[in-house]
Amino acid sequence: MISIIIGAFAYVAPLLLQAQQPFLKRFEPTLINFLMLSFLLFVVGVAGVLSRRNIIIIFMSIELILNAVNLNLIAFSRYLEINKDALIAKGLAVNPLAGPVFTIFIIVVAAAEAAVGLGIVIAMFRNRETVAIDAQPSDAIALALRARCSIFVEEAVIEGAENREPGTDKPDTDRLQKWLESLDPNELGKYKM
Amino acid sequence: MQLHGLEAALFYVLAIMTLFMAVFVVTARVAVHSALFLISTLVNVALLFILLHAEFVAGVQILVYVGGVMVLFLFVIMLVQTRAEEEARVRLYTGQTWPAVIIALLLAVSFYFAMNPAQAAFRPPEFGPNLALAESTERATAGAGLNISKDTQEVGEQLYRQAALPFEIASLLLLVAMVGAVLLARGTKQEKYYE
Repeated sequence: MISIIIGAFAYVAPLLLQAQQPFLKRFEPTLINFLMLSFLLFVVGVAGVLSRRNIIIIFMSIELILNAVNLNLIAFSRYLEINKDALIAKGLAVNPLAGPVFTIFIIVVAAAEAAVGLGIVIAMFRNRETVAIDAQPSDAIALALRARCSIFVEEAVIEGAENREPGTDKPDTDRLQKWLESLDPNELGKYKM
Repeated sequence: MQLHGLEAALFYVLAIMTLFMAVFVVTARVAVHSALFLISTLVNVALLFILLHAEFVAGVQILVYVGGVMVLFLFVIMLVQTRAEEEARVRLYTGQTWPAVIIALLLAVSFYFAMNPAQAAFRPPEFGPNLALAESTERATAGAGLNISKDTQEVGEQLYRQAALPFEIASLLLLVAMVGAVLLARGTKQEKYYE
């Protein structure tokens, strides 16, 4: 992998060093290339947040997003610093130092957020022995009861589940069923949604 | 802001490496691998900062992000052993990869529409770049043999003068975060011991 990258570098570098040819000059990176890279990093981070179950990996994808934003800010800062005269001549107010200063604050806030977030992860792991953040079956059932929506179960789960009757007496099961159906979220007191 | 020659080739190499490492962060099976790939991504981004003549931020990124935040991540990953994931006993993905891809495509479309009117502004202006102003060292520290880069000095001036209030608020935020993290991770068993 590293050899591929070094090889690509060795192949491309001499070409770009003599980028007098208009074809290659077109590929020299300008501001928009940095913005594109920052955008792609952002997209990878968002995809990571949405599609992983491990909470720590989700945190790492959030750090990816923050880095994409940092890259964006610093790229603009360099652009403003170079083209300062031209932009001021057009009548724009230019502060090329806003980029690095804001980036430093973003890094500080990211560090604070990582510390607190990982503290939460440790506390969560202590209670639940897992770092996957799906809903537990009990949570899912409670949510479905309160929101009055259907519960869908995979067949494999039903087949593998223990078959427990709440009580063999028919009046008992009838009573239990009536009580379950008559549960009103407003009666749950402090657990009201 | 066109980069020429060697810097251009370096940009492409760093960009491709950063994107590959970022994708590996998101798709690694073992959490420790994911953390190491993220360290590589952060170092690549720091190199991109140096390419953009922002050396101070690159240094801060490596010291704070890689040296602080990622070490903290690795500690917590070791504490919270996820061997179940490594042994493939547990699902890795939420099953919502398709919504993630669709949202990524929507982001791409919105990025195109956001960038399109501004295309003319991003091209180098007619006066041409003023590299002489950007590279001048007239604001370098006088005497004392200090070899601070111009970028560091200017960022420091901004931080301690114009941005002093946000600076102090950031320190307060770090203090609050520290206290909160210690409280969260302390646990009830230890509380009972101290009572």
